[in-house]
Amino acid sequence: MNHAVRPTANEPRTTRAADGMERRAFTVEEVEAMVAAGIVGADERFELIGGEMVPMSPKGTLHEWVKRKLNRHFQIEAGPAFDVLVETTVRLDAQSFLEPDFCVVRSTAAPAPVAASDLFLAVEVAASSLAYDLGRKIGLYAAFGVPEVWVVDAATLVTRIHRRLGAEGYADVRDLGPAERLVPVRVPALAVTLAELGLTPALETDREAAP
Amino acid sequence: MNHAVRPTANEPRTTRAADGMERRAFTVEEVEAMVAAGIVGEDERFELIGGEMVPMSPKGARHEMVKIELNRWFQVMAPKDVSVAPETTLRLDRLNFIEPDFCVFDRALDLTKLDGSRVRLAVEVAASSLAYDLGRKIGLYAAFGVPEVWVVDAATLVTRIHRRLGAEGYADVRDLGPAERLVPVRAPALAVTLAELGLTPARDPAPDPE
Repeated sequence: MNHAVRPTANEPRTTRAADGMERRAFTVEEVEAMVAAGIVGADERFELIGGEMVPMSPKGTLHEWVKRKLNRHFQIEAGPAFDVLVETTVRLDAQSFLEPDFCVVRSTAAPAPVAASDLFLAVEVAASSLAYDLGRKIGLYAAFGVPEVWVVDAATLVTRIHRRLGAEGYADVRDLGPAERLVPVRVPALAVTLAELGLTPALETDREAAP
Repeated sequence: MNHAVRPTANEPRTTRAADGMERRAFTVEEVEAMVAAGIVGEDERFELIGGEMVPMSPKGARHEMVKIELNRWFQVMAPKDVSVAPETTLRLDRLNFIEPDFCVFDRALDLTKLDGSRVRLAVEVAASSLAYDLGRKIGLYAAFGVPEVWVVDAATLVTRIHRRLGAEGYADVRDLGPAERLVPVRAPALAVTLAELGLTPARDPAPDPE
C-alpha cells in the first residue's frame, strides 16, 4: 500500500529511489560542467550510463589482486604498437562514458580522447559488480562497436569472452577457466593464462558478493 | 554573449537507462547549484525524489481543466487565515522536494518553514502520471508527515483520499466519486464536490487490475 519511504542516511550518495520512473538525463558536457562548478567532486568516480551517473563500487582486494597481475602481464607484453590503458575514460556518445579496467588501443604519440571505435579489446575485472558488468554494460560495449570484451570474475577466475560483434550483439560468448589461454583476436601478443600469472580461484567463503 | 550550448531536442531529456543500478544522488543544494551554473535550465520542471531529478510530465487539457476549477473554488472559499498555493515547491528534506498541484497551509506561516507536517492538505491532480501519484509519491507524503492527501483522477473524477497517517502510512484510504463531497479534515471550509464545479468525467473508472 503506501509505505513510508523516507531515505534513512543523512546524505546517501547513491540511490534507486526513482527506479521505474523517467529521470532527467545528463550529457557528458553537463557532467563536466558540474565538476567544473564544484557540484560534483573531482574525486568522485562514476560512469555515465545513458545520461545517468552510476558511481563505481569500491574495489575489493580480489579485484585489485587480479588487476595488478593482469596489468603487469599486459604492460610487459604490449610492445611498441599498442597501449594498454588502465581505468581510462572511454567516451561512447553524448550521454555515456565508461571506465573499463583495461582497454587496448593503438599506441599514440600525442594525447587524444579514447573513443569506443579505437578499442581492440576491453577488459573488466568484476567482483561485486559482476551482474552489472555482464549485463547492461556489455550491451553498451556492443552498441558502440567494441569488437572484443573480456569480463574476468575475480572470485572464480572464469573469463567470459565476447566476440563476433553483429547487429544482435556479440554472437560468440564463451566462458574460459583459469587454466585456459585467453587470446585477443586483434592483439594476440597479449594472450594470457590467468593461472600462469600465479592467480588462484578464491575459496567460496572468501568470495565477495555473489550475484 | 557566448553561453554554453544547451542540449538540442534530439538528445533525450529523460531516461531509465540505469534502472536497477545504484545512481548518484543529488541534494537540493546541488540541484540549485546546477540551475545557478546554467547546467539545468531554470524553466525545467521536475521533482527531486530521493536525490533523483524526475521531470514532471506535460499537463494535458483534462488536468488543466480540473486544476482551473479547483483553483477558483479554493481561492474563493479559503478563509483569511489559510493559503492555497498552486504548484509550490514543498521541500521535504535534503534529497526530496515535490510540487503538489495544491498545498494548503496557514497563511501566517513563514514559507521557508513550510514542511510536510505543516501542510494541512495536499492535492494532486493526476492524469498520465496517475500510477506514480498513487504509489511512490504517496509514500513520500506519508514519510514526511503530510496529514491528508487527495489524488484526483482527472479522467474519472474519482478522488482517492489518504488520511490517518501513522507509522505504516495512511490508514484511511478511500475513493470518492465526482458527486460525493470531499471535506478536508484540517480545512473544512474548502470542502468541494467536483460535479458541482461543472466537471464531468471523461470516462468511467477502470476496473481495478488487481
